[in-house]
Amino acid sequence: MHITSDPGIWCQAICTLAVYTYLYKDNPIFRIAENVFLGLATTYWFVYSFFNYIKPAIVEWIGTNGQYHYVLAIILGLLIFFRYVPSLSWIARYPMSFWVGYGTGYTLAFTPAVWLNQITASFVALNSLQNILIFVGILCTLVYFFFTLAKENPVVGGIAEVGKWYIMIALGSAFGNTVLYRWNLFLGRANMLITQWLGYTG
Amino acid sequence: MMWLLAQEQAPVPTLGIFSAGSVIDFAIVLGLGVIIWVMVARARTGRKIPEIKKIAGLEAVDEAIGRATEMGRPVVFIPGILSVDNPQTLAAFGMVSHIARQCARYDTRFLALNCDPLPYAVIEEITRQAYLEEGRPDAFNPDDIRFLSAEQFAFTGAVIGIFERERPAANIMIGAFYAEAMMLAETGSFQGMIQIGGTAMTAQLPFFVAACDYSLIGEEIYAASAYLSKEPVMYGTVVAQDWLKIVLALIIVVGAVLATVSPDSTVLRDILGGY
Repeated sequence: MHITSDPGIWCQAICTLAVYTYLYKDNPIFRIAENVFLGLATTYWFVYSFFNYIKPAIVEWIGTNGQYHYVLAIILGLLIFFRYVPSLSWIARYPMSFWVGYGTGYTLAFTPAVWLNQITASFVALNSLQNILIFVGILCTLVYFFFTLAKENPVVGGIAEVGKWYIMIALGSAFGNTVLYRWNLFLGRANMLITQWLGYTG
Repeated sequence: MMWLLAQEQAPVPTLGIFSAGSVIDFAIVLGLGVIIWVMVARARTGRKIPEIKKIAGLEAVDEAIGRATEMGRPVVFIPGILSVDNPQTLAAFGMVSHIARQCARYDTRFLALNCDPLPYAVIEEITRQAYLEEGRPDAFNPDDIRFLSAEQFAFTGAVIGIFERERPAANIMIGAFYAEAMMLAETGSFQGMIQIGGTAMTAQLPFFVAACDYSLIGEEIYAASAYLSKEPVMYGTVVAQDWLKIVLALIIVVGAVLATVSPDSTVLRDILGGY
């Protein structure tokens, strides 16, 4: 066993152990790790946004390429800061309205393309037990999400009940799958601590 | 800025309006819009609109706020970690108003924890409006609507810290969640909070089902605002969605029958724009 002298590995190990101290209970070491992580992330995203969006927009896209329509986006973005001026805070609602409107429009325009692919993928030939189970599962699950018909029609309610079972089986399978994946993540951390930090290779 | 970048990368439209293969998308959106308009018009003229079936997770929202009120502890709301261009975040906006109004009415502290600056700004505005409508603008505290970090796990760590130190009694998580879903739900469960988790992220739903007292599965979060408001006009939108689902179910049945009888047929796929 040979403990590493690499400061990067030491930093990783200390941060990992500091976070794991939470498994005992909330404590000052976990709080330090939490606040360091939060501060680093905030700084990282500030620098990332500045060098990838703000600076290229002003220097390159507007200054060099003459794409002046970006000025509109910058003005719209700056309007949000009016929320800090109480008497003019209503102005900040315009960029917010724009964002929500854009989000709604984007969703409406591009969501059908996603589920239309799923619809056509559901066109399975009913010539095997597997395909029949898939077909029944899709329809029953879809019926489970009929919110207004199930209340009035007991047949629809019954089909929805079958759909609920399909959903629960699928969720149980996904749960097991993800727990195993998380276990792998933990093993990765443990491996780092044991082999890279403590230098145990036996 | 992102919107303008997206515009530059968009494919060249055909007929000057539609990008390739998007005609059917437009027809679906238009059809849905017409059905919603018809249903909302019916509701406005006082004609019967079908009621929404009971959704336990939504029934529990008022119960969770009531428990927090009794215990004198805050209610936490987390709208997922994605921005306003995600429908799940929009669904979360639909719930914030109801929750904030209830909290204002019962003088319960309302904390909204955000991972994205845009939902943060929108939720602050919705909450401020909710307190105003309840006649309690003085009770609104902007510091309780918080932007923590845009980095997923820094946000998660900060939320866990707030759970530990602020000791909320209720935790309502509605929106798009990823790997942080389990950490948040587990911590909330460990703290004994009453928890309601809702998302359409299929990989994260199992954790909400396992760790939360009530869970909203997929589509249920989109019916939430109509369900909570109990307004017939808003019910109209849910009825319209049901009609669209019926049409889609019929298309699946026809597609499966065609695939069985005539496996080489591409008629229906062609009608659906080649998807």
